[in-house]
Amino acid sequence: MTSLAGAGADVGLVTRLVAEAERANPDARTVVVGLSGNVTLDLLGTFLRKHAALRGLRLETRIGPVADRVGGVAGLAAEGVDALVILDLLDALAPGLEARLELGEEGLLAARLDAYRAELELALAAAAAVPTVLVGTLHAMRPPAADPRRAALAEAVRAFNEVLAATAARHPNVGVVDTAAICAAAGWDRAHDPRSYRRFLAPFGPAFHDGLARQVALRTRGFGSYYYKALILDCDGTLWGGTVGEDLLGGIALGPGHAPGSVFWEVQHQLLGLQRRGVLLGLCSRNNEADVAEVFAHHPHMVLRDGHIAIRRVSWDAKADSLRDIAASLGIGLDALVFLDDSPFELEAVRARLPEVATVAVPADISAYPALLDELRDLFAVESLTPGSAAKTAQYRARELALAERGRFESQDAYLGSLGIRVTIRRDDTGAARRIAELTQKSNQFNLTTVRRTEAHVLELMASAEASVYSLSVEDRFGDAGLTGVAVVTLDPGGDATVDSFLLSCRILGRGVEDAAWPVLLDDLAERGHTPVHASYLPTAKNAQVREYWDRVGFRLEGEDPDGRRRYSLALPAPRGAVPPYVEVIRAW
Amino acid sequence: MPGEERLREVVAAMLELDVADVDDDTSTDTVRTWDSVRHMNLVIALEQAFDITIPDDDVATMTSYPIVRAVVEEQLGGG
Repeated sequence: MTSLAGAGADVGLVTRLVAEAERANPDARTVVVGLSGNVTLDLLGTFLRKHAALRGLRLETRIGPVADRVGGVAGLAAEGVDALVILDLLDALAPGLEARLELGEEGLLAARLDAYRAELELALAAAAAVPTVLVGTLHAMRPPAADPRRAALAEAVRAFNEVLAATAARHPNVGVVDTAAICAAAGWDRAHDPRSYRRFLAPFGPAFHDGLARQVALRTRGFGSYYYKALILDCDGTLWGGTVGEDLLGGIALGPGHAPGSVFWEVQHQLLGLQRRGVLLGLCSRNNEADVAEVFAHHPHMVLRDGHIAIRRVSWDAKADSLRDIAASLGIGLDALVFLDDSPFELEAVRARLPEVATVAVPADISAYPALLDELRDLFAVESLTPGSAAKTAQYRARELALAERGRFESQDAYLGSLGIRVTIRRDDTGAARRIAELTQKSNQFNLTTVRRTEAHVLELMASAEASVYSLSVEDRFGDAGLTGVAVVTLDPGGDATVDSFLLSCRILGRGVEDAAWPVLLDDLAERGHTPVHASYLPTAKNAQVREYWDRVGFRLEGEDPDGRRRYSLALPAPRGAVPPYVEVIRAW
Repeated sequence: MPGEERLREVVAAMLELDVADVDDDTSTDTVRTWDSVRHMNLVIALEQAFDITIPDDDVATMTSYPIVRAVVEEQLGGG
């Protein structure tokens, strides 16, 4: 039986297998993707659903009207789509455009370019609230050829794509997808269907849509299903050929000229490219620390230097332990790590103990190594799914800057006081429902009960008189961390309140935010006549750090259930727990 | 026709029906999901699955399963 992964671009088979996969997984998270094009794009939806189903997700498409680019995009943005794909066919921008451009019709190109620029700019402005917008480049339906008779068309394609790139670059949520590369990979003829273009205004064939959907999945990080932040590298056999402990500095294979040293040298350039695009690089090697340090400091052909490496664990410890330590030190989850090693044994040992870490093997055939790095680049897609995620690189930088400042203060409190931390708490803020749902989906470490919610659930709770959804937004003088905390409290009319969920993004831990919030929330509950307040901690593989959180903020432990759930309660009004003096809390309702 | 099971599978998948529900009564009048978008995808899927080219005139008249079967049969040279 064919699997979905092996179904290729067979429309009938893909449609059937996607429907089966969706039936088998009815509770899957649903992502919504908007499509806007000057041609019919319905078939793209089939293949987007395929690539979502391969990642255990459901996907729905919303399709804007072919004739109204700007209004269509505005409508899709208003619907709150998670991502938007804009794809135009060059030939359909004006009747018979390819043939007329090839003729070099007077004034045509300049006029079309102006119209295209204006319309795209308006559309992208209308899509400013969409987390990720991907715009396909324009290409001619016939393959590009060196034929000088077609030079005018090739020149026109280039001109359109320059306009596209310049316009896209003005919008931080917009990325460009190279459609010519998709056509080349699919085969230019298979990528297009002239009959379907004539019949249905649907010029792209299944093979093109499959390739484009795959790109959309990669560029949205699997529709938000993963988010790798750091690439952790082994050394011997991964950054250079040979073993530095045995072959010594002069004996390892690295440098321009001949393989295998030239391959490792090329790969190091690719790794540096990843680092410059914001991927954190780390070392995890079983080696003598001094040997590795010597290579980084003194090997004439090292491309990567100390300054490029965010963290290093070079020791004889098990790599699984080092990786755990690396994740903790970087303040990110194990599931944000990709580990690259040439030893199948080491990789298997890591997989066995840390299944959350994505492991990648250096190919046994070293000439395939640079191509593997291209695939890794896809995994660390630059675009991101929400504005919050998009700002994350800046936030990590802000955090680093903040960490660097720490050394200048006498005490931790003095340091925190200097940050100007401000927490704004909102109640039932429907505009933030999507971000709140996303946070409930993603937060693992500081999450007391790990209840996952959809946007629809969150909106339902906000609308109900028997629940309140509080959100915490945090900023300090280094930057705005955005909405990074959520509490859901269910309310018995005139009686008990129960904390159903409480969670914070791990990005803001260690600043007292978690302690500053509760007095305000408890005041609100008391004012509305709710007492006592019940709360619980439900253990998961990742949230051990908050096991005693409720004890810390003054709740009384009532008992522990067989599944490990710790039940607490607190009668109101209660004496205020110690509130960190350096956090300003703003109650915004 | 030979390969009719395959045909029913493709039609069922594209119209979101159970294979068992695809019969001679299946038409644009009886199947709510058989709209213009699904019709377009059905044509593309049929051409792909059977490696045939469906003439434009037939695309417009293929409004029931028996006609779909006849059109595909004809293009396969069996009609």
